[in-house]
This record gives sequence, structure tokens and C-alpha cells, in this order.
Amino acid sequence: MTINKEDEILNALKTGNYNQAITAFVREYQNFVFNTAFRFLNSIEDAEDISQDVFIKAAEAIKSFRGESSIKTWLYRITKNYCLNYIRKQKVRKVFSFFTDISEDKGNTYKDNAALPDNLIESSELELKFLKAINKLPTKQRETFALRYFDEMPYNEIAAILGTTVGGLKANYYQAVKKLAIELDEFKD
Amino acid sequence: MQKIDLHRMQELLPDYVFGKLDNEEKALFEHNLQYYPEIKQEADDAKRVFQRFEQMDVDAFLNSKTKNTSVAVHRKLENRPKRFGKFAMVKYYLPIAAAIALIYVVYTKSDTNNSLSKQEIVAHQTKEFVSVNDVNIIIDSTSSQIEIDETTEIVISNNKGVFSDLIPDTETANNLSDKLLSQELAKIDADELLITDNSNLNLLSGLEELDETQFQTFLKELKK
Repeated sequence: MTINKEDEILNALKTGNYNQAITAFVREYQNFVFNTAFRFLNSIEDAEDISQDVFIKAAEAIKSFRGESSIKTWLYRITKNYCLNYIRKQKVRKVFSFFTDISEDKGNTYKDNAALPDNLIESSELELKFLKAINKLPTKQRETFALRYFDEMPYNEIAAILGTTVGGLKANYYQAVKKLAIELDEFKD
Repeated sequence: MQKIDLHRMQELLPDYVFGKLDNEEKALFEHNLQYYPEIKQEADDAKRVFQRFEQMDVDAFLNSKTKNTSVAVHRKLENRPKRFGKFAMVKYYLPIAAAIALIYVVYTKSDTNNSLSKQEIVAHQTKEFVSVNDVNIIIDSTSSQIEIDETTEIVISNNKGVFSDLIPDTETANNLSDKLLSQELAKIDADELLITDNSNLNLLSGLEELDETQFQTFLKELKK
């Protein structure tokens, strides 16, 4: 039997077959967590690492999850906190960077695309450009757009996550769409 | 169909572009586009841009990045050290305990160095340590102050040298020396003409005979 609903996943994590439940839990939300992390960190490699840490934290804390919000809302908050902590640590590392050599480039891994066929490279670059254009938006516009466009969350849930009103959200969403249309004008059909 | 304001049109635009409006809202929006040509232009531009990205399979892209996440999570969960297991003891608690022990040892050792022990004073040879009362002072009414000062200066500087050898901190050594000598000087009655070595206290030989407890008591008395 496959576990594919939020309640079933929660119950399985708390009481059932833990390993199977963890797998289902991660697969259900991995894209959401990764995408959220990527928006904060702007690095695929970092987003992958943070995603794993988020799921580990969630798996350990699942028993204390009270269900007052949706799992996505809960995971979003964990992801955001991990990302902001990571960014803070990176800033401290930069201050002391003259003591150690940390010149490695942790940007996107698209340099590795040399081995991919051309059509796949082009497709990947298009998606990456799209995601990076989103990342250029101011934080609230970016998060509103992503949570509504990618995750299709209702406005009231997004408002709860971002701590803003529904009216303010809609204004942010409009501004985000308008700016992206200008930024990605080259891709207009 | 009613006319809606510009603000409301702007709120509806994104969902209209992405096809998320219900039929009623969609009809209302399209009806009002005639009143807001700039909104119509923005909606058309956005649709043309996002149509390209709608064709793109972002989920497939994300799946390619996250396909190993569940495996990695399982591996990390299995390798996670237990808080109270042997690994945690060695990695976390032993170093912390060692650091605490080291700090305690350093603190108590520095405290010991600052205190005088009777053995140190005795071993350091009290023959160099001179008491004011060991010096014959003849005081007359006119020159007493000068003679006392000169004599005490000699005594003080000599004793400070002794104390400095015992106590690495020169300031502490000087302070202790001054304290002891000022106690001695306070016992000298300026009206007395002569202070001989028959006076009551001979620190030099007295210290040799003190045991540890007596010496500590002696120091406490000095402080009083």
C-alpha cells in the first residue's frame, strides 16, 4: 500500500512503519522544500544539502507537530530557518576567508551540463533562467509568487506563512508577475 | 456586468494569466478589460511570456535535482550519532569535561601561587628579612622622624626584595611587605627613646618555629 496523503503520512510517521513513511514523506514534499531552499540560497548544491537537513529535522520533530497548520506551511518555516542560518554562517565565513582558502564556487552546477545533449541543456538553462529571475524579486514578491504559482497554495495559507494580509499578497503577486514579464521578455512567444 | 476598480483588476490579473479564476471571475475580468487598456496590455504580455514556461516541465527539472533526497535522508538518519551513546561520550562530553578540569586546575594553581606559605618564607631565608625592631633606633626629639623614615626605607626596600622572590607579582609583594611593616611601625611609640632587640616581636626567628596552621593564623592576625 502506498502512502500518499498528508494524514496518512503523518500517522505513519508517528505510529507506523517509520522507514516507509519517511520515504513517502520525503518524496511528497522534496520538490517543495528544494524549490523553497533554492529561492533563498540561489545555489542548487546548497539547496540539496539544506533539503536533506530539513527532512531530518522534520522527521525528528514530527511527533511534536500539532497539525495546526498544513505540513507545507510547517516545512516552509523549517526550510526558511535553515536557509537563513546557513546564509548567516556563510557571512561569518566570508569575514574570516583570508585565513582559509574557501574560494570554491558553490554556484549552480550547470557547468556540469557539458555532457548533456543540446536540447536538454537548453531546457535546463531555460528553467534555470526562470528560477533565477524569480530569485531576483524582492523577498515577499518572490515568496508569494512561488507559493502561489508552483505550490498552488491558497491565499490565506500564504498570508499565514508570510505574515501579511490577503490584499497585500495579491498586490505582491501582481507586482511579481509584472516584473517577471519584463525580465523574461526575451522569451515571449 | 458591474465595473470594478483598477486595484481589483490588478489583484485578479495573475490568476487570470495562469488560468486560476473561476468562470464568474474570469468573465468579470474580461468584461472590464475594455476600461483598462494598460491592464489588457500587461495581461497579454504576461501570457505570452509565461506560455513558454508553462510548456516547461518544472516538476521534471526539480525531480532531477531531488531524486536522491530520500536515500540521502535515510543514510543521514542512520548515521546520526545518538546523544547519549558511546560516540557522543567520546566526541562531545569527554572534551567538555577535560576543558572544565583544565580550567579548574589553572584557577586553583594560580590561587596557590599568590598565597604565602610558611615553608616558602622559611626556606627563603629569613636572615634577609629584617624587622624594624631588630634595628637599634635611637630617637631623639629632633631627629626621630628622619631616622625612622631612613631606617624604614632601608628595611622596606630590603624586604620588598625578599617578598619579590617569593611572590612573582611585584605589586603584591610590595603591598604585603608594606602591610607587614606598617603593622610593625604602628607598634612603635614615638615617645619611646630606644627600640632594642629586646622588643616583643622577632619575625625572623618566630617564623621558623611556626607550623602551617600557626602561620596561617599569624597572617590572619596581621590582616586584622
